Amino acid sequence: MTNALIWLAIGSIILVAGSRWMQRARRTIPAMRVLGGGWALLAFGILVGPHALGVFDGGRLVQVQPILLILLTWAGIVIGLQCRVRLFRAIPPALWRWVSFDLCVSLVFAIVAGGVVARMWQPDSPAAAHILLTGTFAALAIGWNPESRSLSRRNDARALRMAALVQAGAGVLAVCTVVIASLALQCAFQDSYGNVIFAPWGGMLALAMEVGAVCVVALGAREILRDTREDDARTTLIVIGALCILSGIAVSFGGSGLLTGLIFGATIGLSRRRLRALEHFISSAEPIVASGCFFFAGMTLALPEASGTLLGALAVGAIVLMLALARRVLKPLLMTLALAPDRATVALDSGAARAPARQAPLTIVVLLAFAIQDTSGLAEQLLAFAVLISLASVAFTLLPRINDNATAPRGALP
Amino acid sequence: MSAGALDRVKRTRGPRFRATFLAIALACLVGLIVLARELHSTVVGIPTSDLPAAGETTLLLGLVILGSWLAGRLVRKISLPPITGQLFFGLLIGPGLWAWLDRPQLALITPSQLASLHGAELLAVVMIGLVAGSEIDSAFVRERLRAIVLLAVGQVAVIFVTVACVAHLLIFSLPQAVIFATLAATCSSAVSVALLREMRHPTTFARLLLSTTVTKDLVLVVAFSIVLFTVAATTSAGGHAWYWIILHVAGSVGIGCLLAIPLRMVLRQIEERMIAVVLVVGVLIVILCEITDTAPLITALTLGYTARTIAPLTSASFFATARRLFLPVCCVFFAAAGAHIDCGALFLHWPVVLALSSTRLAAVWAGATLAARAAGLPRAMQRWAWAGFVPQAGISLALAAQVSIAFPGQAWVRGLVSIMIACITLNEIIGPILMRIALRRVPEST
Repeated sequence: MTNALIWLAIGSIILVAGSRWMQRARRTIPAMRVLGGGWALLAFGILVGPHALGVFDGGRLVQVQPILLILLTWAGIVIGLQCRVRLFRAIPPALWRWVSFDLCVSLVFAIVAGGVVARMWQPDSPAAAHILLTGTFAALAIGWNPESRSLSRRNDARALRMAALVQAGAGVLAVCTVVIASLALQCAFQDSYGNVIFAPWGGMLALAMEVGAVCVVALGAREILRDTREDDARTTLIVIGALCILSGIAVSFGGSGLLTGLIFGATIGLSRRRLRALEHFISSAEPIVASGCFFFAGMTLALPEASGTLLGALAVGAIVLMLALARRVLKPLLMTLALAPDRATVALDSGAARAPARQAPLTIVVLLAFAIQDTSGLAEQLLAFAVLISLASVAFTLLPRINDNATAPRGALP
Repeated sequence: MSAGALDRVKRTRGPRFRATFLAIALACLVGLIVLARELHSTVVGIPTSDLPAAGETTLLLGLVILGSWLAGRLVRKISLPPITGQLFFGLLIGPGLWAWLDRPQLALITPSQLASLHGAELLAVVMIGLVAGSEIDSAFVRERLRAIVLLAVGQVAVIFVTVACVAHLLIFSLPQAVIFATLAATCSSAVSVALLREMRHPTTFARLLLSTTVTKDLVLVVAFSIVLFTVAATTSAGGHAWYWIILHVAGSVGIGCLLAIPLRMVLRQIEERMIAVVLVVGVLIVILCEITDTAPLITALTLGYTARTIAPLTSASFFATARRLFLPVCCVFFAAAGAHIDCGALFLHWPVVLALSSTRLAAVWAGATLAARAAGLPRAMQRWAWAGFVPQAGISLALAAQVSIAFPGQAWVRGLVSIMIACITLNEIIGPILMRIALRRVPEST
C-alpha cells in the first residue's frame, strides 16, 4: 500500500511538473527558471528516502533499481548524441582553448584532491582509492551548467555568442566527464567485501567487451532504424529495448550505464544519415529523465557522517562553501584567460559569462551512478556534497549581479 | 494517391531488410545475452557490480522486447502474423519448453526471472486495454449493433452447448463441463487489437471483429462468474463467487468509468510529456487493480472507451502516445505469454486437448457463420468471420486461474485447469494465424 501511494505521488509530481501551471510558474518566477523542477524532486526524494521519513527503505530501493539504471543509460544517450562530426567541426578555436584549460585544471585538482581524500579514507590501498576518488572529483570539477537564459537578457551578437560558447562548452565537457568518471569506475571498483580493488587490466578487458557489445547493439539498432525512421512506434520499441539491453550490459561488466549510453548515442549520432525520429524521442524525454535522476539522487544521498555534530556540520559547511567559492573564482578566471583573445566578439561581461560558476547538473547524475555501485557509503556522502556544492554555486552566481541591464523583449532570446 | 492505395503499395513493397538480416540480428541478440552472462561469471578479474538482480531484469526485458519484435518480423516473411513469432520466441527462451525437454539449464529465462517480469506484463495488459478501448468507435458500434450482438450471441450459444456436451461426454462432470464451455466461448481482445493495429487502416471487418470480441468478453466475464457461483453453490465448495462477480465486473467497469473524469481534467492541463502521462496512468490502473482485486484489462478497456467517448479531442494526444507505446507492449505481452506456455500440460493431456480444441474450432465456425448470415453480412465476411474468434490469451488465462481460487483444495480443479490452459495455449498459437488470414481475405470493399 505504501509503495502504491509513493508511486502515485511520484506520478502526480511528474504530471504537475509537465502541467501548464508549472510552465506558467517557470515563465513568471525567476527562481524557478534558475533552479528548475529537478530540485523540488530532489527534495521530495530526500523526504521519502531512507534518511528522512524512510518510506523508501533499502529493500524498496532495490525494487526500483532497474528504473534507475534505465534513467542513467538514457542520460548517457542524450550526452552521446551530441558527439557529431559536424558539431565538433563547428567548435571555434576559442572554445577548444577554454575547454582544454578547464579540463586540465579540473583534472589536476581532481588528482590532488583524490589523493588527499584517499590517503585519509583507505591508506592501505592508495592507488585504487585514488583512482576512484579522482573520477569522483573530476565529475565535481569538470564542466558547468549549460543554462544561461536565466542569467542574461541581452541579445546583442556578443552576448549571444557568449551564451552559445557556454552551452557548447558544457556539452563537450559533459562527454569528457562521463568518460573520465566511467573509466575510473571501471578500473577501480569495490569487491563484495567493500574493499576497493585496482584492476586496470581487468577493467580495460571489461571495457573492451562492453564497448564491443554496445557497438553491436548500436549498429543493429541503427540498421533497423534506417528502415523504420518514419515509424514512431518502431523507434520507440528500438529505443526502449536498446536502453534495457545497454543497462544490463553495463551491470554485467561492472561499468556505468552512462558510458554504455554515451557509446550508443555516439555511434548513432556519428552516422552519416541522421535519425531524427530517434533523436527527437530521446531528447523529448530529457526533462523526465533529469527529474527521475534528481529524485533518485535525493533518495540515495546521505549527509556526511561528520555533520552529526555541530562542529562537524560547520566543517562540512565550510568545505562546501570553500569549494563553491573556489569554483566562483576559478571558472570565470579560466574563461577570461581562454577567451581573452576573442574579447572583441565575445561578451565576457554578460550574464551568461557567470554560468560556468554553477556546477553542472550532470555531476549529480554521475555521482548517482557511483553511489548505486558503492557499498561503503562514501559515494552517497559525496553525492550529498555535490548537491550542496551545486546549491551553493547557484547562490554565489546569483548574489553579485554583474551589470546586465540591457534587457531584451520577451521571446527575443535564443 | 489515396492513403489506402499508398498503404497497399507499402505493403506489397515490404520492409527493406531481409530475412537473413533479421535472423542474424536475432542470433546476435541472443548470443550477446548468453555471452554477457557467461563472460561475467567465468572471466576472473573483471569488475563486478552490486546490482546483479536489477541488471538481469533490464537485460531480460531488452531481450524480450527486441527479440520478440525481430522474431515477429521474421515470421512475417512466411506470411504469419508477428504475434505468432513473438509467442514462439517467448516459448523458446522461456522455462516451459526446456523443462519439458529435461534441459532446464538451456532456458534463457528461469521461472523466478519470469516472475520478475510480472509488473511489466501487467502494465502491458493495461496498455492493451487502453488501446483496445480507444479503438472502439461508439458510432460504429451503434451502426453495427445488430451484427455485433448476433455474432456474439450466436457464437456463445453454439460454443457453449457443443463444447459442454463433448467435454461432458469425454472427461468432465456436468458442472466442470459447463465451466469449461463458458471459458471456451471467450476469445482474445489483445490479439484482435494487436492485429488491428498492425493494419495501417483497419477495415470494417477488423473493427467489427474487435467490437464483437470486446462485447463478448465483457459478457462472458459476467457469465463465467455466475457459472462459478452456481457451481460453487451446488457443490458448496466456494464462498466468495458473488464477491468476485461484483469486484471483477462492476468494480472494473466502475473504476474505468470513474478514472475517465480525472483523466480528462488532467489532459486539459498537460500538453507535454505525454509518454509520462500514459505510463503514470498505466501504473495507476495496475496499482488500483492490485489494491481492489479487480481486472486490469477490463478497467483499462472501460477507461479507454469512456475517455475517448467523453473527450475525443482532449484525449487524442494521449491515445496517440498509447498507440506509439503499443508495439513494445505487445512484444512484452506476447513473448511473456509464450514463456508462460506449459508444454508439459499441453502434451500430457494431448488427446483430450486436441478433441476439445477441435470441437471448439468447429463450434466457432458454425456459430459465427450462422450469426454472420443472420446479420446479413457480406459473403466474404460470412465466410471468414469465424477465424477472428479463435484466438485466446490473457483474459481466458485469468478466468482459468479464477477456478483454482474459487474452488480451493478440490481434487478435480488441477486436472480441469491444466486442460483449460493447454487448450488456451493451442488456440493462442493457431488463433492469430487464422485471424490474420481472415483479415487478408476480407478486403475493405466488402
